[in-house]
Amino acid sequence: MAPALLSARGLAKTFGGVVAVADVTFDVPAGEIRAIIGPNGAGKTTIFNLITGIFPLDRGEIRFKEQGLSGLSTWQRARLGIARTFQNLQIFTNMTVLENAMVGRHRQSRAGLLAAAFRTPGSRREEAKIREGALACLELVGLAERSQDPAGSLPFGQQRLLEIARCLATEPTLLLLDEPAAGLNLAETDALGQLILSLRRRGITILLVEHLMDLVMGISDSVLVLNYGQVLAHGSPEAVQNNPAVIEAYLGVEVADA
Amino acid sequence: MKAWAFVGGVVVLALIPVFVRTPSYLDVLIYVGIYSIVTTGLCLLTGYAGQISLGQAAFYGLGAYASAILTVSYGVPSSIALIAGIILTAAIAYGFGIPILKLKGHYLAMATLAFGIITYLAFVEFKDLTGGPSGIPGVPPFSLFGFRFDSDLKRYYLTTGAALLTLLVARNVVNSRIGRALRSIHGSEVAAETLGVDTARHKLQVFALSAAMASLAGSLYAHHLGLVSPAAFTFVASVEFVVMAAIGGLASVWGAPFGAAAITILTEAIRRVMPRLLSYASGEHEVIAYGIILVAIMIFMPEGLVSGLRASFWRRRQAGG
Repeated sequence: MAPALLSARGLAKTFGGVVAVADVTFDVPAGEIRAIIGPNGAGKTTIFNLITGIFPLDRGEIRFKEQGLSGLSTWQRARLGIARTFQNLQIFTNMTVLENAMVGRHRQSRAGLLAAAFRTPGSRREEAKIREGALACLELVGLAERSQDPAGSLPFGQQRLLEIARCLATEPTLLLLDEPAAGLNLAETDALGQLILSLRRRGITILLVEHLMDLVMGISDSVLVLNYGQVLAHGSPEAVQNNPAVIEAYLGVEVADA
Repeated sequence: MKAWAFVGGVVVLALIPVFVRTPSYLDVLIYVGIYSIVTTGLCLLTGYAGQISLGQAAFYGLGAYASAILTVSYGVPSSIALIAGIILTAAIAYGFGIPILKLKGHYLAMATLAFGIITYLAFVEFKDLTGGPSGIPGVPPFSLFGFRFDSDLKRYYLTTGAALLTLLVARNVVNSRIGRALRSIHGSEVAAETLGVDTARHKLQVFALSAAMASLAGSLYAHHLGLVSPAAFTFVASVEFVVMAAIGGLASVWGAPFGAAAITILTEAIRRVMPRLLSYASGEHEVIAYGIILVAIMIFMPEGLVSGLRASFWRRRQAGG
């Protein structure tokens, strides 16, 4: 069996006295859509923050492409090919839609401050390629015709798509999506599901934190269930849905609510 | 900004001395050029990258002292002294920026403020090098390839040309991946990092660039006035640079020259007009008038002069059909 693209071993993170992630181990093979579900406060977003290096680990190890990530800062991990979206949108509202996506091309371009200051021919060629690449990513999510609008003027659902386009511009190997369907209507959610499936066809491995069970069960290859910062279950969507512990901790509550 | 607007601006600036013959007016315009260089750097730092500096006068002073000391005490050619000043100042900003640019918001403002005060005290206290409170007199005019900028007219073209070049450099930076990285830091630092932007390095670079621009302005100032003394590099000067940047408008580098011009000309105009309006007017009355005008601009044009005037221009056009 090929080694996993992402491998997390014994992750632990405490904030003050609150245990966010107690002891979580999982592997994500290349090319999979892996969902992480669990009740609020189960530690899902914290795991994203640990993978991207926004918080340092208390214990444990994360390996990506067989390389240990400890000691690497967030931008260095991004350059290895890890991109993420945010549950609370982090759009650059001080820029246009296209410029947001162009920031995603930062990793693929090198013109430094001096080259930029004097607009060297090399930096101008590179600038044209950055624009082209960013526009292609906007087309992929269906935002090309809004490219010149201020990013903050987009409706909420399209801002979520812009975050994804911005990630795609970095040409990620692993894409972390933090509740991408939150706030979307039914049609937008369907389109999102199709988009995520098309990204996997492009060879992007996807880690998905999501509350919307229809979406999770519809597109995921496997599901990791967290509860109180620990792995409660792991398996195919069907297996997880029929797991008594999961039903009790999580799905059961939802069914009772409905 | 369109190319024709820029060319038009250059033509107007080139023709100004034909119409402005009063020497003291030309002197004011030289200062507009000098201050607009500092303000352009501050606009990149604050308007684009979202980092605050209340110590910009220190970098301005470092450039001025580098030029004065190297030319007066060591006989170094003024152009080489100017470049040495820029390199030295940028290096100091870079080194000082490593610890302090980890701070955010008010804390960064406090650290830069402290840096400004320390540098001012260094200018006063290192008497052997800086001449203490009375400073260094006898700074020669700037010269380049044997051409001496020894009149106000020549210096007007020197400082205005330098200001335009600085603006062009700033515009190029803004319209590049570096400029987008700076704005992404302002927009959301965490998102910028997750997209592969080394935010710490970009902040340091723009801090050093803004310091280099301030240093260039300081050197031109030293060669224009012929005297460098600590009084020009106080905390108040740092605040004035911030005011110029804010009045011009931080959203665009084109605001910088307008802010510098507005504040410099306003200060001068109030100094001349107030004694005629009020026979008993003193320095305090000037400060009050100055304050009222600044408050009015910020109330009616919170985005600064450039966006404010542009918006009212469009409104009038639409109203006129």
